[in-house]
Amino acid sequence: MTQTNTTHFGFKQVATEEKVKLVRGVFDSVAGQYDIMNDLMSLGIHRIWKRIAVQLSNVRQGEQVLDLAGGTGDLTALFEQRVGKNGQVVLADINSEMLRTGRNRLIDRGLAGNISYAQVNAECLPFEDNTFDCVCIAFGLRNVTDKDAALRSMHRVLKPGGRVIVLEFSHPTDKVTEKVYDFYSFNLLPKIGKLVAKDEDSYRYLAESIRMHPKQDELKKMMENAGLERCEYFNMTQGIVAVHRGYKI
Amino acid sequence: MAIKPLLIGALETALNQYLALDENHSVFLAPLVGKTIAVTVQPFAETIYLCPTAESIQVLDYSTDQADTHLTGSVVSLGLMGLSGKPMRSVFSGEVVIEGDVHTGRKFQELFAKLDIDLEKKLAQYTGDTIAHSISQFFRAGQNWSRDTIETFRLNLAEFLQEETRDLPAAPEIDIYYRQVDELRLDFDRLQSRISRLENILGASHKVEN
Repeated sequence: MTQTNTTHFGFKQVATEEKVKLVRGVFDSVAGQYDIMNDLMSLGIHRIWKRIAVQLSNVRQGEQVLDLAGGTGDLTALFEQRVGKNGQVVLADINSEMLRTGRNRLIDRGLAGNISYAQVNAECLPFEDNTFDCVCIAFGLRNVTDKDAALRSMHRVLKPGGRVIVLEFSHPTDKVTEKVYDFYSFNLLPKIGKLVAKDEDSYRYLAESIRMHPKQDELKKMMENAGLERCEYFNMTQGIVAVHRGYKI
Repeated sequence: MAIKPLLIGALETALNQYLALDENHSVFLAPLVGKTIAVTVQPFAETIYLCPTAESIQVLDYSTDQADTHLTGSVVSLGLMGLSGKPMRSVFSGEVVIEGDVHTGRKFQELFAKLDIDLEKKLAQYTGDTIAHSISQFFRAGQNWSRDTIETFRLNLAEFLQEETRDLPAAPEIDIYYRQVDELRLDFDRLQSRISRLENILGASHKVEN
């Protein structure tokens, strides 16, 4: 019984209802420094990962896109260019602080009119069935408590022919990369977090949560179980990050 | 594994940068808005989908919509079709295959033919008018010189091979030869028709005798 009511938060086991609060705490803490930290941690490569994910989404003009766990709106800005003024992008996040940061940032860049904002829980999306041509979740799925429920919910709101894009840290495909990556994640990353964002624990959680995230094939299987078809994944930077893509047929 | 989307992204950026060099590109894009053009590059059998919008062309690796037009050909033949003054020659010679809405395919080709790229104007935004004009003049002079040199070389070579060494026939000689071949072919056709007519007559009279 205890087993079913707990979930992982990094390497720790916590009560299921507790995880949402803990994740919120992490992102409330890092929201202000989120973009700088992303650039520092990935040496700017996260921009290429995001561009590839958007390219793989095959989003075209006039389409409806849901950017889940959209955070500070990096992907929303890229999707906004693709859907044009006839389309719409919904930037959604469970965390109000991240959403506020993202909204301010996009408005400051003059991106408005075809972007909407919604504070939502990915596990139970408050949208009608068959609403979106593409649902994208970038670096967010590993923080969701019930990933299967989230994937089912994404499948539900997709139109037939629509696709789910999951961009997420994953597992290196070779031992050398894994060793280097482990050293970086557990030794250097928390130090950078302490120095720049004044928050070592949040960045330790980041490294731990990545290790607890399902492997590429496991996540592909989860997507298939959620009803998505023709699922495939694309490893990037030796599997440190992977883009999973699945269609609602 | 993620090379293809990266290349497609680069292609999309390059294509749209090129289109943006002509300020009137939206006029040429207008008839293509909402269409999907599939392009299959042989021998790789890789297909990309071009989706023109009012301002740009989106390049996708997969399209849920059925393509209006499907172009198939090698990189060279597709490239030549885009740049050639007589693009339909590639189609008639079978180097490029167009399936579906041929009108859309034709409009897509025309897009590149009609673009009027003024590089001097674009360069002037960064370097100023004087420098941009000088650079353009330099390149234009180089281009003219290259064109003249190549043309002179072509004429000299043709004359040498046709008139001096007599290794190749001259154009009028070829015309006469082809005309003679055509006449021979026509004569042959006529003769064949007569023979078959005679065969028919003989066959018919043979049946009557029996």
